[in-house]
Amino acid sequence: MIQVFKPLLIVVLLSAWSGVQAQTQNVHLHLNSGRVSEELKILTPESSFACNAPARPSKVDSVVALVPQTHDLSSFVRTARRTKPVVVRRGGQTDAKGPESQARFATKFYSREQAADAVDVEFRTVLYFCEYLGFPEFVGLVYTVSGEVGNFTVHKRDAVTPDQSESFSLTYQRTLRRRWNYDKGEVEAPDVLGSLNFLLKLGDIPFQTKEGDGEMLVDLRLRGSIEFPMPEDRQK
Amino acid sequence: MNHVLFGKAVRLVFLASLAFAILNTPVAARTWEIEFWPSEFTIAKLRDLEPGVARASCPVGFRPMRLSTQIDLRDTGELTVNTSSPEHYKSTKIDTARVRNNLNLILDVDLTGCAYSKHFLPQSGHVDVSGVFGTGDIKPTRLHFQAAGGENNAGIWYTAQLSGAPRPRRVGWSSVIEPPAQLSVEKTLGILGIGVSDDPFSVLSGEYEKDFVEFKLRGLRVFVVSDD
Repeated sequence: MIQVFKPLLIVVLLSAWSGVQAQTQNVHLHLNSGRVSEELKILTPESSFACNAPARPSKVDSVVALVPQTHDLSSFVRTARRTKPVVVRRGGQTDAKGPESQARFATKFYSREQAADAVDVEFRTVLYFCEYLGFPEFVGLVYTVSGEVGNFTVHKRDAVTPDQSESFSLTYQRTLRRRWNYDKGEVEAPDVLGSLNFLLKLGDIPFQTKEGDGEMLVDLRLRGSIEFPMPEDRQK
Repeated sequence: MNHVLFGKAVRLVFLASLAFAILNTPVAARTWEIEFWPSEFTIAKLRDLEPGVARASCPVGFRPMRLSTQIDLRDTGELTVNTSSPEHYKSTKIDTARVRNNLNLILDVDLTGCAYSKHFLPQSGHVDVSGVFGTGDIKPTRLHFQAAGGENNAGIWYTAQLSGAPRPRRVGWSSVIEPPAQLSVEKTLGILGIGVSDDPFSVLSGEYEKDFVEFKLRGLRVFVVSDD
């Protein structure tokens, strides 16, 4: 009897082992939004949060989409394990007690190319600041990851506060007042007020299988920079 | 006949220039190039500007602040020296070895500016460069910085750390400098970058008196922390 179940036992052990693997090592997904120009929008204090005068509440939005060409999405085309009937043979003979048994096999839902077509994941962040004379003070951020990729769907929305410093690194560099333009051969006023540079690290974002029978935990990293355009009245 | 005369003249000119080259080289001014590769971060405090120091005019809500620090480059990284002079001259070889054995630059940074929250706007200041170069001393040189423009030979820029810890910095191809572990996130205000470009420095004494010393400091980073 034990001999009959031996191949089955190996399959079960294998899948259990890969299950353990999946738990200890999350899939990594690195996104780079590049350099975008976005205005710091002033909010009304009534509809948002309080800032110490003279600073005003403000926000800046950023959206980045998952691009199949620049990301390795092979993890998202992996596989679920399906139970299939199998015929057990020993010494070329089928088992007398019954030819059919069951085993679990890895099946791919999508090929790599199909998964690339089925990518629609968007990463939205809203950064909140108290702003004074164009200088931002970080108050917090809200992010939303939503969409589908391959066999998985994701929808997560959460906030990151300034005390979660290990997950969010943000710098701001004010543009120097004047810049030498090599092409024109003259000093010119900058068209950028300053730029933010950020790195957001999120762990254990759950991606659910569409069948709803499993989930994969993903570690996300989003980096990028946002330039504040120089206000019209200050250009010159 | 003309050919012979021409050949003689060419030979004469050649010999004369060869003699000139041989005689002249040991006393000719050489050019040295110092490069700096940081391996450790330095930390400086941003302090309230003490009374009596010429005040920067700051926007309402900004505090006049001062940042002064001394950076000993031998303690914070590696200084390398190279010369474009012909290496096969014995004197150049000996002098290169002397310099490599005894080379240091000290930067005294003194800046005033305006601060608000974690932001710091350097307004004016200077970087004093001094040091030793082989058997000689480098002539102390003051490099000026003015945010408003004018003659600048020190480049100063500041990046405010609005959230999180400063990220490790990549230097060259393979090495990475980690921010000091004891640096608390709450006290970190930002990172000051210093770049130096100037006419070559001169050396006061020793075998290098006539030489030119060029110093390339592209991006020295200083962690700026609050005083309290």
